Amino acid sequence: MKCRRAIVGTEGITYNTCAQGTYLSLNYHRRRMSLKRPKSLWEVARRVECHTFCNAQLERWYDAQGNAWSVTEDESVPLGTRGECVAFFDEPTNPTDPWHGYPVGGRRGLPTVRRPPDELIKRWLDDKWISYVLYQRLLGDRV
Amino acid sequence: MAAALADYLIFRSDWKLSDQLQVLSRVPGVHRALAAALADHHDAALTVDLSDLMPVYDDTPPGLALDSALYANRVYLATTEGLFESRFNPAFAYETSTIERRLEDRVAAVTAKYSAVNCSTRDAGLAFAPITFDDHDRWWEQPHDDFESVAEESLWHSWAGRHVLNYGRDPIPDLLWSEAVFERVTDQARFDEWRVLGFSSPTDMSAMTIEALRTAHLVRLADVAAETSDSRSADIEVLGNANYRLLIRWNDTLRVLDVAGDDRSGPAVRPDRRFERPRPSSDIGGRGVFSTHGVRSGFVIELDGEVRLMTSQASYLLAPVRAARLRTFEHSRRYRDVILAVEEEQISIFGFLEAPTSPNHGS
Repeated sequence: MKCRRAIVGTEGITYNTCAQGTYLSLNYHRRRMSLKRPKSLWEVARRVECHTFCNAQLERWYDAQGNAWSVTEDESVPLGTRGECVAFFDEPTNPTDPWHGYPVGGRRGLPTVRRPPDELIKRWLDDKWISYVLYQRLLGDRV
Repeated sequence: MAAALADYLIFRSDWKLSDQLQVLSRVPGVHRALAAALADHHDAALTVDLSDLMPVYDDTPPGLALDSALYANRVYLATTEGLFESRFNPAFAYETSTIERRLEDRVAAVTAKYSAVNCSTRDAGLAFAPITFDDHDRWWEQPHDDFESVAEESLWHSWAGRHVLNYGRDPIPDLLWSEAVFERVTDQARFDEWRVLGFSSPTDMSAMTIEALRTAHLVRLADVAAETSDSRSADIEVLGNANYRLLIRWNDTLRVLDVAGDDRSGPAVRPDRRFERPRPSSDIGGRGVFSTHGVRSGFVIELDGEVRLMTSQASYLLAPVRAARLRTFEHSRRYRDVILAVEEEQISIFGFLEAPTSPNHGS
């Protein structure tokens, strides 16, 4: 894991990623805050969060809109506090801005209900990133 | 003894649920003897050769398989590319049938019952079509564009008696009250049966559900229709349903309410008599419920690393497995209390025996 802490700011911590980009780990996806719409929260450490994004960059896990998706490396360790195993990273509006992301899932009741493209889920299975169990759970919107 | 028990618990769970066995197991010592036999032989492994499997249909439908349903002689396959329909005739099991596309949306869940097929297509809604049978069953000549959208959004759905619960993003599902007739589906049919012809507009159940929880009494939709109730502000979520029974997390408890009512007085909700005692929501952990399924004795609850069984007496750890898929057969004749779990490398079939009185003796 080569993510290196670069800047500690008021919004969060910026890392230099393994793929020579920048990633901002946002505070509001780490702490429970009284926001109008509740945010999903990372369960894993900030460096693991950053490296989850690195996997997406290195493996080119992008959707048709240019957003990045990633999945937990260890299925017994979810990425989010509600058991989310997938993370979504919005493509920055400005190419020089750092990326940021948060845990998501297709399951009803999660703070952010969003599912990765089916083709990506299949790729994760074929490339042995995920088990058959997680493949079925992701396709069925159960996590 | 163990083989006979396996037969009762898995392959003939209707015998296990019969009055005879229920009465017999109340005789002192009988249940203990049954539980002891299970303790000695609680599992068996079988290797099944899949090389001789016969295809049901003659072509591979496109997309990734998401769900399937068998109903009468119909086979429905839901995939990321749509809904596909084929036929299966057990009298000519070696014959394959054509497979036809019925919908083009991604179909996450398909169910077929009461001569109706329903499909959850997420943002494309809940699609419904009547299943028509005729004595010659020339199904390929029937119209294939007869689906109508009966709800705007549907993550999944489930039957509650002849009606349908449609689960969207809100914590409480909508109820679609059916219009049904009791008649013979073909001229040659020997019995009358219920046929669903259509559904009413989706009914928001929030107000009557919250009111039924608060008052512990039957609440009709008509009684609360004028009131508004924001389920998002209440700490409530319908986790799933087993037929007409709703499993509800309310504050720190698990409750069970029944979808009730009739065509004359309209929909209602009432506390379930068998599941009167609330259970702590800690039974289902903090990370959330992945899915719920109905069995005759209650609910099967899929969590991250385990499958739990909740009956009217207690909540049990059924198996510490991560399930790719769970199936129950609540509406079947023989397998109403059987659970099938598709795991990474195997399929497990579970039966269970619950002590008649003390929850401490569940097996």
